Amino acid sequence: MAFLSLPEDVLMEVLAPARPIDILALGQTCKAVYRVTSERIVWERKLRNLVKHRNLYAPSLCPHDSTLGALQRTLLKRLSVPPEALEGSATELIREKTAVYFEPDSGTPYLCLVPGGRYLFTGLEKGRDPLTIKLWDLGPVGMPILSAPVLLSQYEIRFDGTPEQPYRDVSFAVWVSDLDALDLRLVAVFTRMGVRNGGVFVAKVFAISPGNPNPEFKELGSLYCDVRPEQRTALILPIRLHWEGWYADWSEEGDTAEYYMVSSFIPP
Amino acid sequence: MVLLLTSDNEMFSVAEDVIKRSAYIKNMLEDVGESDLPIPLPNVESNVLVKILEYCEHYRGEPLPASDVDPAEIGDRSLDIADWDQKYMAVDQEMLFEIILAANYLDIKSLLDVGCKTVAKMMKGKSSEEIRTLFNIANDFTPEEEAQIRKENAWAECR
Repeated sequence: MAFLSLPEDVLMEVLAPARPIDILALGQTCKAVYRVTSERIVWERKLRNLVKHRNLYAPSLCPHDSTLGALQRTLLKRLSVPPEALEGSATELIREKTAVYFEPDSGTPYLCLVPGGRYLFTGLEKGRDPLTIKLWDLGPVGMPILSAPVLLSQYEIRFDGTPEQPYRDVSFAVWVSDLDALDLRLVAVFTRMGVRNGGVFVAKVFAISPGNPNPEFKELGSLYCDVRPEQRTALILPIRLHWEGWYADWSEEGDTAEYYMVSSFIPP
Repeated sequence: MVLLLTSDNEMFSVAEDVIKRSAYIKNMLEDVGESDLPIPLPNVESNVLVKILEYCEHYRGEPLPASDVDPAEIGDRSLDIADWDQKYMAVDQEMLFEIILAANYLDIKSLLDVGCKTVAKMMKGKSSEEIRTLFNIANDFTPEEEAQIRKENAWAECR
């Protein structure tokens, strides 16, 4: 049994763990191997796994509408995301290092950089309700950031906050649900805490596909969680999206209270 | 016990919990149920089956991996191979490819994964010429074709 007598499907398996640069070198050895290493599926599969394991979103590198060469270049060019971009300080990174300004003095901005560095969500709060969320394109990964980010879409989130019981502590979480679907999930979480009677969390989940022309925010569903007064403690952990993008949980452990919730979003 | 008949007509009697690491055999046993008839393996020679059984025997009792895991997913994380697996894979190339082929045929995902990682490690960092020598591949490109492919990949080589 020689390397070249492996059937094509087994050869594909062999390519699965190989590094992209080694696959290119292998493809240059002979025609039969070149045919296999030039299959789109080999590179699409690699890209999918890369994105999945490094929590990256790179729709500019969309497998469906890029050429084979572009796919290969993508995989070889080391998608590097500064570690801070994946943490809470991402907003500072955007503001300080690139001097991009978003509608100064027109409300309280909330920022959330999508892993991968190309897209940015902003939320602008003007008098509590509604909250306007916008999706911006900062320019392709690896290129200098655009001096004027392109507004791709905006949406007004309405929630039933009242002046007496305003929602506060708005926070966002973004999840890349599926590279194939080019789909981003955005969760906006609002907290409304009554002084004596507990509080409510409201999480709304949106989907948007920035790779599409004229992308639109689509509300997928919302999740409510009541907090009873005895369970209330000072610290509220931000919502996290689970792997599938369909679950959210938040948990809290305190001296006197502990609650934990996992719930699935039900599409409206 | 399960009876297996290799392509060179050798009969093997194997404990069911050993051979169940092969999803192919496992499914067959579930479909057919108890049977005294041997399962023919027309794609596997006895020397390869011995080697495959050594692997299944070693991992006997360990939980079977989830069947829906894409080996590429595990593979992309790293090329790390467990010590025992490395020793197990220290065979000549001919046997290595036989193992990969048989693991694919018998649907033993973890073994296929280790085999493919072993090959990936062998290729790692090598030039096309070095890979040709490694796998005994004859260059059948015309000089023009080769120049064309080199040109296509030039951006990758001068990184």
